[in-house]
Amino acid sequence: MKARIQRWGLWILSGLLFLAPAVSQAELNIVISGGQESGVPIAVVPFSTTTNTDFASIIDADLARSGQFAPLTTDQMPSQPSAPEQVQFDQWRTGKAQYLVVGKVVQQGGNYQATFYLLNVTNGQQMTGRVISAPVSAARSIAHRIADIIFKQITGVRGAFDTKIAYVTETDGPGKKRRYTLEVADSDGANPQTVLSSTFPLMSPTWSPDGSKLAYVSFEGRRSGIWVQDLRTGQRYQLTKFPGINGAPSWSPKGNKIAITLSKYHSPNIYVVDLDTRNLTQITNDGSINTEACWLPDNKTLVFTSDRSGSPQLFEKTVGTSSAQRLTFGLSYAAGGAISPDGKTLALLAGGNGGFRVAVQSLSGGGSDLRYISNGGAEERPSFAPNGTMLIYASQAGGSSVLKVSPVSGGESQTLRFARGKVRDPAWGPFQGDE
Amino acid sequence: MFRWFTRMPLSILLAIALHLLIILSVLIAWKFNAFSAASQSSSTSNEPVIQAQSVSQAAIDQQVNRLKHADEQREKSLKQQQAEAQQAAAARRAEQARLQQLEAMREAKQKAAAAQEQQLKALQDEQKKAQESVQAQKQALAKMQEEAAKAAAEKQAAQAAAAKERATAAAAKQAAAEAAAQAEQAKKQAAAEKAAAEKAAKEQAAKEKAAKAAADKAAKEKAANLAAQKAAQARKAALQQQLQDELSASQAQGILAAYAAAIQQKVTAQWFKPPGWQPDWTCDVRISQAKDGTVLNVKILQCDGDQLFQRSVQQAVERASPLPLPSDMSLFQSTINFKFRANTQ
Repeated sequence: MKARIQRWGLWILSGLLFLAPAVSQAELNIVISGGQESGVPIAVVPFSTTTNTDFASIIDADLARSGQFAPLTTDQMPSQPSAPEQVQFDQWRTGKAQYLVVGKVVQQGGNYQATFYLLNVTNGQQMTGRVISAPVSAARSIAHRIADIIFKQITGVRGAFDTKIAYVTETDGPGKKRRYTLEVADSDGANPQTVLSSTFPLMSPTWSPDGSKLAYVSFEGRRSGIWVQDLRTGQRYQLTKFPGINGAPSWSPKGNKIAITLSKYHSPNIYVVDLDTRNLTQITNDGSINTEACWLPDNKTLVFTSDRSGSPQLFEKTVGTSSAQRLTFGLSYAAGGAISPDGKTLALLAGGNGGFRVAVQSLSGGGSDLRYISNGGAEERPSFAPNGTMLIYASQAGGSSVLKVSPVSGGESQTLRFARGKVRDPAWGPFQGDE
Repeated sequence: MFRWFTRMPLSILLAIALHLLIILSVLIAWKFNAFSAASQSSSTSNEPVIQAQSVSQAAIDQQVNRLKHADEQREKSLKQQQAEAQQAAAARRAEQARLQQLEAMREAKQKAAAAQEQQLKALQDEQKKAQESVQAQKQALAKMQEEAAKAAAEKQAAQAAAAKERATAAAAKQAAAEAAAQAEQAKKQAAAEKAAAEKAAKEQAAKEKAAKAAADKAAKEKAANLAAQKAAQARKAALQQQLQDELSASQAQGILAAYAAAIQQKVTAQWFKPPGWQPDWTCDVRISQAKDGTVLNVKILQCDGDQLFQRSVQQAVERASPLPLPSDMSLFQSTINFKFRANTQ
């Protein structure tokens, strides 16, 4: 802090030197450096409602999880207005909040109708005001949609709170029999729905880009296979049942292909299955391990893990070309790649002295700008939120496994709470509907 | 030999004739040959000669270039000459201007000299007049004395004549001598008086001249003193003004610095930079404020980073409103430029 003040002093001094000849001029030039790193201070006033859903806390949690907002607690609020005309801005301006959200929710038959306003405390202007209706059962979804609108208004980036996550649970059932389930829940972990339950291991779910289907690995029949399941109807079919490993499916951005790992009695290699023709294209072909493929937005370039250079590292290869480019350097272990929706950022699992941690680097940066996102040391393969601002990943702690969400911009991770056992292999679903 | 000749003259003649014949025929043959050779050489030299020289395009180009270059060179030199001519003309004009200036200066000098001369002449005329009047007075005096002496002499002469009549010629002679002596004396007196008058006039003139010179000198000195005093006063005043200016400037600077520092502190305290900022991000903002420090308008001029970063900068300035005011309101700035730097360095 002292050093900081000294630095300010220097700036003031340098500002003075600059000012000296400009005394008679009409303009003053002032340098502001540093400031304080902080999420955007925002006050989401508890909504006026007769329902038993706490909309404001859901919105608060969403905004806080993004790492870019710092919601105020209710005791930091001078009053609790629920409409713009009730807001006395002078009262709020003395506090921390830069933005203020007020609203109310009323029940109309089987629906909830929410009316909310986003206000700029500093200049007293209303930034947006909307009415949102949804079935009572989707009360939390209303809150997530409000959070999305606030996020977009302030950051300029589409919010990804009203989205779904898929993951696998592992519980000890009666008679010490393991049970595995494939679940789909809200992005904050609420409203979990079991998609599939099995006594055989389930792994690696991947979303179709329209969010209607999941592909995953199931060991039913004591051998691995890739399955595709329709989430609305529950109907499922087996996509591959090659000898050996059938693993690590990844749905392509256009939805017409799935990249998979097949061993066919040899070492594992990357293949692409065309969903329309069922044609199989081999992408890698060597004696090393090649797995964990994921797609770039161009729908034809794949990033995958390979130990062809000794230790596991990430490589990139475009379908139809012969050579692969290495993407990670300076790490003794780099695996579990994921590509941000804009195709610019590579998230990965970096192994080293700090254990296995989630990190990000620019796709083409060669690892020169690698940043660690988690600090647990027992993390697993990450998955991007559809707006690229957050990563979800499994983290093991005390014999259990939980899901965590970290802001890509850096900041505290949040743990999602689940009722059952070990939770792993999360996959963040796409945006739902139009913006 | 001769005997040999005489012994067989016919054979010798024959031999000689034969020799001559041989020599003649040889000569004719050589001449013919020489003629034919000459005609041959002349015929070859009369044929038209075509010197077919193959000239390459490069050579042509080279030639053209050479010509071009020469043209350029010529043009260049022409230009240079023109430039030189222009320069020369400019120099000439400058010289003319200088000469004109010098001429004007000389004229001014001459005018001044003429004026001085006129003044001097006027002065001399005055002196001359004074001298003339003195002379006239002296002449009048001398005339009066002369007339008196003449009258006295006439009287004496009449008396002498009467005495002559009455006394002897010796007595008359003596009387005449006495009269002459008297006249001489009168003459002497007149001369003395004249000298005295002249001296007095001279002394008077000298006195007047001295007085005038003294007066002139005094006036001059007085003027010089006044000028010096004035200059000293001006210098002193300027020095005081400078000191005053420096003092108020440093005071203004101090106030302005404190003003800037107060604004800087308040805005920095209100800047909440959201995570995800990059160290090289900067944002230039221009604000206008009311006289009470209320921020009226925030204009983002140039800004790195995302919307969130830009908003944080705008919020920082807006939340710092009203901005602190300077202790001297004459130094209030209605427009302020801020440069936000994400990095503290």
